Amino acid sequence: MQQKLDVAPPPVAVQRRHDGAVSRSGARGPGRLGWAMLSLLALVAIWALAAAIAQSRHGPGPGTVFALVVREASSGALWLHLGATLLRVAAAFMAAMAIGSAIGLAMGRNRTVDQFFDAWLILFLNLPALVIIALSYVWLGTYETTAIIAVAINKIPNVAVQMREGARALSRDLDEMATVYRLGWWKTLRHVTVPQLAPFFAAAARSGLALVWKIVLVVEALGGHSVGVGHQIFVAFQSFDVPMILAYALAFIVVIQLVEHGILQPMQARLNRWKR
Amino acid sequence: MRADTLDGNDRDAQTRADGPVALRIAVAAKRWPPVAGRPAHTVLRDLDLDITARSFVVLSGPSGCGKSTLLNIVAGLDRDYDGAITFADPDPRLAFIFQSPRLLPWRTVEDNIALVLPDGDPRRARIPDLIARVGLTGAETAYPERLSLGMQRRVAIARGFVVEPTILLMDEPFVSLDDPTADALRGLVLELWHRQPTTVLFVTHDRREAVRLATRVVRLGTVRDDGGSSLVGDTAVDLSVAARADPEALAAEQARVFAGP
Repeated sequence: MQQKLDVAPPPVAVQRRHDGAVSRSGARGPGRLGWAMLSLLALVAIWALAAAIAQSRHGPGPGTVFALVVREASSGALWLHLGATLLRVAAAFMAAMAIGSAIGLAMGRNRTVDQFFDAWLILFLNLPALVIIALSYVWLGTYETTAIIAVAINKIPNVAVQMREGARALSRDLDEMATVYRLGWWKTLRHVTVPQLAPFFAAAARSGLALVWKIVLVVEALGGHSVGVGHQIFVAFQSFDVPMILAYALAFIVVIQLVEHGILQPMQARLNRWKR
Repeated sequence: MRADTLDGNDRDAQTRADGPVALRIAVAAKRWPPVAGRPAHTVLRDLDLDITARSFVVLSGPSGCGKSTLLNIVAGLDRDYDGAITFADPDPRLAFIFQSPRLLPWRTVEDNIALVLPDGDPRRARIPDLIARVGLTGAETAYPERLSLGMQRRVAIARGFVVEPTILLMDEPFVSLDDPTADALRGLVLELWHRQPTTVLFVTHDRREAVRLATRVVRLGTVRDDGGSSLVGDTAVDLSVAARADPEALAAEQARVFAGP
């Protein structure tokens, strides 16, 4: 496989483009997915070329890295570390979305709360991730929950800012309609308020996922956890094992992209189906 | 003033002689606080009105005279005023057809109409009939933003009537429509109101629209130097259905109702 991939990229890219041209049958371009594939394959080709020219132990080609991914996957190590990291991402993500939304809504709906806590929000927005992580471990100790709390605290201010915008944009007109027609709090929340906040929530979720998984790796490296992608990358870093760093990074990027395209984007499309 | 109106002897006695009072409006004063450089001012002062059940009362007056403010006070959306709004019905059902349709863009036409009724409410059975009556057949599952403004207003009208309101409030619901469309909707509202008589408070600055629809036109305007609108006219309109569709009869009635200052 390694051998084949080292040589193959350019022909594959050409063949793909050709396939696209046949399948689209008269359409204007290769399509969104087609373009993404094309550009990714171009990137792999450049990578392969650069690695071939550099001929360095610290600059492995795509074939070496892909082979390592396959090896780690078949040994089970990849799934162990990937799984542990994904659980942390999920927990921190959900905690940050819930708490950040609550704070953001409270600030968006109430002027006094907003004016008082605005300075706090700005402070936490600008607090470096590293400071939060370091202090979390010093104060809370090296536990699983510490990692999740540290990551969540990093993300909460961003969610709060976006949800505050959503709460500020809530329509007074629709609120009045709900009052006159006596929809009651539950129906108002479900049919009037939540649909207005949904786009802000979706935006916070998408940018949130990107931020959370990057910080989780740092937390795993610094927190001395024995499993996790961050831990693996940190161990590899200590021995300058670049292929290993790239292999785990690549595997995780693929997983996050699957979540993005398989869950978050379809969710957003469903939420927006009423739009013109 | 209140005592006079209860005697039933003053100028507009005929407008309420034919039924019980459904709604009593008594606004001593409504003031706006200073906002963005505009000083505090009074919009409504000493406004007393008894609204007969099942009458179609049009509130008319120049823009800014406080018509919409009065409607919001009646609707309970604005509680910051001196005075009292009293309903004959201890538990009045209100419907409000606003100046903009105020539909939920993320709910379909039929969901927008059904939403104002509790789940399993028997009135929900009437929705298909009402949708047909307002001319929305075929658009039941469309989202509002895919409809024209005229169609959206039809949805808002259906939503207003489906609750079978004891008081139906309308705030210039036909603005920014072309004349034929607006007039078709006026006809539609009259037809629905004849089928399902209810007490209507309708705000407009369009005098022709006022006589086209009303059984009583109440004119608001400034009567005092210190600002604040009050009653400047209160006239019954007694036109047949045919006369309401006749431009000449409407013009004559408009001249009569809006005669004077």
